Amino acid sequence: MKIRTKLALLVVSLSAVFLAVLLVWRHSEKNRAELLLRDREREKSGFFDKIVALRGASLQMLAYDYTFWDEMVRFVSTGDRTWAVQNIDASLSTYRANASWVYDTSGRLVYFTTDLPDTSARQMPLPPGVFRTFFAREHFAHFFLPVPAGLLEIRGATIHPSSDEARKTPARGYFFAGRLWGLDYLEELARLTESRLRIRPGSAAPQGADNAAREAGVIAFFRPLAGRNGRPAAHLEVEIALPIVQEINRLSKQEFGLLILFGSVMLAVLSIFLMHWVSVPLGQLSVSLNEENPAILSRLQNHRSEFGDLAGLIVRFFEQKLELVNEIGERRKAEEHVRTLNEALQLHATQVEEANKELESFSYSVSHDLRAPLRHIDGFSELLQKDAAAVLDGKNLRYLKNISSSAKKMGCLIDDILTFSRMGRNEMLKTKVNMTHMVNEVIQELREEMATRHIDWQIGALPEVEGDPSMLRLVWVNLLSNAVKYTRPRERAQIEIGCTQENPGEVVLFVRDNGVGFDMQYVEKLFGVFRRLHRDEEFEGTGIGLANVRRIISRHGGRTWAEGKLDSGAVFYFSLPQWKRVAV
Amino acid sequence: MNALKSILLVEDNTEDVELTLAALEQHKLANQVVVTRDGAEALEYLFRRGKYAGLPEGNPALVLLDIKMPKVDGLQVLRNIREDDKLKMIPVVILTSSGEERDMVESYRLGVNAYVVKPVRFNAFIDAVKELGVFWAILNEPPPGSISRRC
Repeated sequence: MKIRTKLALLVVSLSAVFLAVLLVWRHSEKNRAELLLRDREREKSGFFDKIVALRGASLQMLAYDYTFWDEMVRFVSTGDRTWAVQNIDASLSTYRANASWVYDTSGRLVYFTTDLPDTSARQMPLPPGVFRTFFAREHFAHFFLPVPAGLLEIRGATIHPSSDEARKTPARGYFFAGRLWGLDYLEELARLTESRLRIRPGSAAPQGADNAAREAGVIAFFRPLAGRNGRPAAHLEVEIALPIVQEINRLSKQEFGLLILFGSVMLAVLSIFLMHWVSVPLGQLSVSLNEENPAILSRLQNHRSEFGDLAGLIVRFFEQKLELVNEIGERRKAEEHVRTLNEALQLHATQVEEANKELESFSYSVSHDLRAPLRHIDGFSELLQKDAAAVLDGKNLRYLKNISSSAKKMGCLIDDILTFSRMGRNEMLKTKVNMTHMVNEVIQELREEMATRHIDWQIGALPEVEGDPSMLRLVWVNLLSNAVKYTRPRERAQIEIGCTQENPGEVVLFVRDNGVGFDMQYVEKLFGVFRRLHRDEEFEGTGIGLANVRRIISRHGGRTWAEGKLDSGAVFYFSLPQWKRVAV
Repeated sequence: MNALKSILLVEDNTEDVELTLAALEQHKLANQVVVTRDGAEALEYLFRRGKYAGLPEGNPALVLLDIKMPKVDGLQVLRNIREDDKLKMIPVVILTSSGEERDMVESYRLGVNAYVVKPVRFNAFIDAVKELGVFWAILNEPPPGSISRRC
């Protein structure tokens, strides 16, 4: 899951938790408000009932006082209207009643009075026969009676003389007082109880107050108003507004709203900072790595945060990668170049090999085809000499001898050049060579040539070298036989063989003689093929020896050079790689 | 047992044939020599084919063989001799101008009896041919089936 998604989830879950806490808090607030409401409801309804009872008390008192009175007992029997007007009509305003009825024990209406314009209540719908049963258990009655003008509250009582305080004697008549629950009375009640009142006719209990009203801080309840038969004739609907509850609800709602706003702002700020601090840098790092584009991080890498460090590292990583890629590219190019060179070299080597093969077949031809005619020249001149010696003079015989010796000389030249060619192309078998042994052996071989000579040999300490023994042997044969040859004019020849070491890993060997020497201006000609500094009559030879020496030494990786002075001897040097013991 | 045995000389070069015969002549060996001028002719002689079809049976006591020749070279002739049941016991001496090692090695590998490089000096050549002739044609007992040619 992406960090961005995780952060979003985090923010969403924080919002959810915050919301849940808020809801729980709001629920408990509501509960508290509800408790408060109930408390106030109980208090208010109690208060309401007391007020209603208090207001109703005067009517009850009227019914109580007027029926415990001797004058009233007398009035039932006399029906004295003057007394009635003076006492009963006047009592209406005193007790805040609107109507009064007086019945005798037979149920006949003795007197009726009302201050209401509507006199429809004159005949209270109580059947005359029911009074006895109506007051059978109680001496007092209280009920409501709907009339066209509204609802009449009626209180009644049995009439007794003042001597009968306990109302034990039979009733002398019946007295009723009614009070109209009109708009005026209801308004008064409402004012006193700080409520809104409404009469709901009908005996069935109306629906209770709805929750919306409670939420708004209004408590509502009904008070049944009992009818004549005991069943409710109507209901009084009471609504009492509780401003404190309303205020609490309003404040609670406001707080809730503010908390929601606060929470949203906090979460928004958190989201923005998370985006800015984490999500955006992470996204940039990720995109930069995915697209391999460090330019995206140019601003981020200056941040003094872990992301800034990371961006710096990534930018450096990309720089190093670029360097590596370039280096690899260059290396590939170099390898390509090397391969091209190698191919060229391979081609060249093949060509050289072909040339070598051609040279080989050429020298084979030379050895076979050039020697044959020479042999024939010599053979036939020899045969001629044998057969015609008797008839030839001295000069002609000399000619024949010259032919023979020329042929012989040519044979030697051919042999020499073949040897020289072989030195150049034969495979070398490198091994450890002990120079002291080799030099002594070669000197032994030359003994015959030196039989009549007086030669002082000075042989220094010679090293072991790495090389082809047969080739190196030829080097010594050439150099030593030269030294012997060119010291021939000396009565006492001095030949010195030694070794010096100038560079590490390389030894320099030399042969010094006190022979005829040479002019240094011809020094380079010495090592050329068939190059000679002396005539044949002076010193015999074909001029191939030093050429062979140079070729062999250079094939061993060494150098050859010479120093000399005419008539004062010569030194021939050659260098070779030293024998490395570790190489064995 | 001093009877002279026949020698087959295989040599393309006229001068060499003449000089070889001259050398053999000095030792009275020339009469026993049959000369063929290249490898193909030598094989015709040895296998009695072509113009040699009518020859009586019998092998030479010695074959003197040059290497470098037209048509069939000496090494091929040597190979054919050694591969044939009737001819393989004939002594063969390579007599050549070539001192090349590879020729020498190949000749010995094919079973040559001797390898002689012709010396440039005539006197040395005469000595060499003489010794060869004396050894192979007089001293050496040829294998059974060789023919002798008397004068």
